[in-house]
Amino acid sequence: MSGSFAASLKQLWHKLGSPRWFYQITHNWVRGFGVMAAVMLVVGCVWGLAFAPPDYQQGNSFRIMYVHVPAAMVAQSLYLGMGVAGFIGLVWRMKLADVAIAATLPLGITLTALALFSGSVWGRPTWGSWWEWDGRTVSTLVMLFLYLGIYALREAIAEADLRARAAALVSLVGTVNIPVIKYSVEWWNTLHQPASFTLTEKPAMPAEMWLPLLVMVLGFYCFAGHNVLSRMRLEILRREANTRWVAELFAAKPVSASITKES
Amino acid sequence: MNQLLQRELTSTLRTRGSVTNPLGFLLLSLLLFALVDPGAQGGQGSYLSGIFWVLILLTNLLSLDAMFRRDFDSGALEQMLISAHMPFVAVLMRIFVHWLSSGLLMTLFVPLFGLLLGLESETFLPIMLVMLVGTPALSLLGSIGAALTVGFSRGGTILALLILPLFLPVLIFGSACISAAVSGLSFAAPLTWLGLFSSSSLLLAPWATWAALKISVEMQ
Amino acid sequence: MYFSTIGELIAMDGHGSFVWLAYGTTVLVLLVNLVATRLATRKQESALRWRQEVAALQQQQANNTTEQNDS
Repeated sequence: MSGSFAASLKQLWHKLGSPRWFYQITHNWVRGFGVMAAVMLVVGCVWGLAFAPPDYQQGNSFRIMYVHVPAAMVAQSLYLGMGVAGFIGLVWRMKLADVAIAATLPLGITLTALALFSGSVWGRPTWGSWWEWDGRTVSTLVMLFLYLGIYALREAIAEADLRARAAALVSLVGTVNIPVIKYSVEWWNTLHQPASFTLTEKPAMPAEMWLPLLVMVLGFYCFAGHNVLSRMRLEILRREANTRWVAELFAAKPVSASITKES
Repeated sequence: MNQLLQRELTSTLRTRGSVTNPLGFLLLSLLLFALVDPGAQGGQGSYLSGIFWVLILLTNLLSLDAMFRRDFDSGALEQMLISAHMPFVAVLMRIFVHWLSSGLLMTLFVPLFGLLLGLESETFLPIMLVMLVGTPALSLLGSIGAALTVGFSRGGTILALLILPLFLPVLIFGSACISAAVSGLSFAAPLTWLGLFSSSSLLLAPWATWAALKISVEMQ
Repeated sequence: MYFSTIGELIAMDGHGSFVWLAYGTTVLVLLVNLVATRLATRKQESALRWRQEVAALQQQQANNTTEQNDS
């Protein structure tokens, strides 16, 4: 029934305005994501390293794909998520939006760097070079700089509300920019190089090869869920340290006199 | 609107240095390249076009910092934000005037640069066309970064970090155009994409700049 | 398993150093993110707990003095 569905969505939206509700509800999610991430990452790694068949052309170096591709995918998703959070923060002034951006930055930056590094390490034995200038590498590198730009901007502004709005604006503008860059570089490459091997145009992979990849990708996403939510909860504790609900959460022992604290 | 335009123009022309310094920078750096590597002159089209555009980007970057700074310091920026009843137009006027004194000016000097670098004169007009289409995007997108960082004391490095990724498509399409033009090929395709990019910036950037200005003004 | 010995697993037909370098840095990145978050959270939680203990002590002292004043 669309009526009650819309109503419950609206309810959810309102609840998201409350950091306290978010903190309470994510307690189990964090644990769940953590467990799933641990299991899937271990299984995926072992599977990819030892049990997947080596590639016909690349040999064993292709196993790097099992860490490179998930890292790149999650880094991009996190950046997109930051853009969405930025949009929500600017339009609806939701407190949690800036919390989300702050929480996503460290993982986003490190995973982007990891994607670039692992891609480079993969490239050396496979295609002979540490670096190629194509749409994917350039847009990932640019994404790293965009991430760093948001980080630098947040560090440079002292006032919390202004910092939030500036970061939200930059992440929104950057999110629009990345596909443009990717397209323009790919277009440039079609002019200057004959169609060379790119990661997208792989020949179809047999199941024994892409199943461990699926597990690793899911594992990385679960890890991201665990880490971003944990960091959001930490950020909430920091920002709401003077409120009553946080005080009650960490109350020492029940004191007989009533505590009349200002929230 | 005419009044606004006139006001912007006179205040820009009053600070002569902000107009001539970037131009001088561009000229000098091109000279340096021509001196250091005689092979950079003329013939090797794509090498030259890349450098040319990179220098244009950097020159633009230099002049962007000053775009809002004086008015920010004097409080006039806050006035503009409060009193303007068409914010899009107000910001656009500022960006337009900036482009007149940077992108357009550089375009007009292309024949001079071309002579210095030993380019063939047939390529001058195509290069000017490409710059005419591409440099507005630089002023438009750059204004967003300039607006965000006007409140910082050492905003220059963050400005560069924020804006250069935005400039990349202009660099890519722009140098594709120039290298095609220099080798005598048709550059219609990259020019179209460049035009598309500039037009979208025209529609979207002023709003982002407006939002950024509002944030910066509160930082005072 | 596609490798008959552990030695072969490590060597990976000559690509071993690349593969293990990539996997090693991955594990490192994930661990650092995990540990950094956990340490910071624990630090914040104990700071909050300490704050509450201090507040409770102060409250108790305030109660004791009012009792003394009443009697």
